[in-house]
Amino acid sequence: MNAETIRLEAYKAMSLDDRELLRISAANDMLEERFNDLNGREADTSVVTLSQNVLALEMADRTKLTVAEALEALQALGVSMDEHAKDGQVVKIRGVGQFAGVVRESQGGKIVGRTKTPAGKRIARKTTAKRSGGILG
Amino acid sequence: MTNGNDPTVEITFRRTPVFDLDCALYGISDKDLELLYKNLATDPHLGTTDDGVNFEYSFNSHAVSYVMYMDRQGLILLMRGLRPPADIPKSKGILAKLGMAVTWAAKIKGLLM
Repeated sequence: MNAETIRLEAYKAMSLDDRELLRISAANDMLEERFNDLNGREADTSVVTLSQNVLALEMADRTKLTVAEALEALQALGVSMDEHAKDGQVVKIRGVGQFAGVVRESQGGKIVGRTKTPAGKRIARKTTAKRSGGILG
Repeated sequence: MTNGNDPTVEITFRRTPVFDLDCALYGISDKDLELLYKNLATDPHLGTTDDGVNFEYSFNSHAVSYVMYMDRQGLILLMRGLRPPADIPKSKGILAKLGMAVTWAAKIKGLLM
């Protein structure tokens, strides 16, 4: 499969809610980029980045693709994760680092046993308070 | 692209990578897209809106969502997504997130004033 096909397959595998979140997120990213261009400096994007990364991990959990394919798809969607995930390897979301899971080949290479470190929980709570929604909301 | 009613207003179409995925997912051809752009260039307010920024336009049995804002380049229509009405999620949390676009559009407008 080429990158474009993989990206489309990953997109198909997402729930309607996640697809909608991705649509909103992508549009807001482009608006933010434009704001930064006009403003001449970068806005504080930490909350937006966290939201995108959590969304990506949720997607990896749900997709039927292998880890390698899921990671490639996630990267194509603008999310960076560890590239060479293998059986038993702990996968962390780069840029946040607090969300992790273990890759299990026996379960089709899916990321299982997802955990959050206390630091991750603190950030999640902070995000929830700031945006009056859940981790994704 | 210019608005047929007012040649002084420049209309620029931008689209997110996710919009391209939607077009591929729902089989929207280049010809369909051309017609969509033509319709919106003629009247950017064809869609319905609650906040003046996020618009929803019914096109070819699909709901097209776009963000409209003013920029130094003129009027920008940012194509956000496209899906059949049946695939529109009803979650209130998602609808609430649309407010972010309003915030960014206001910030951009604020820079230009």
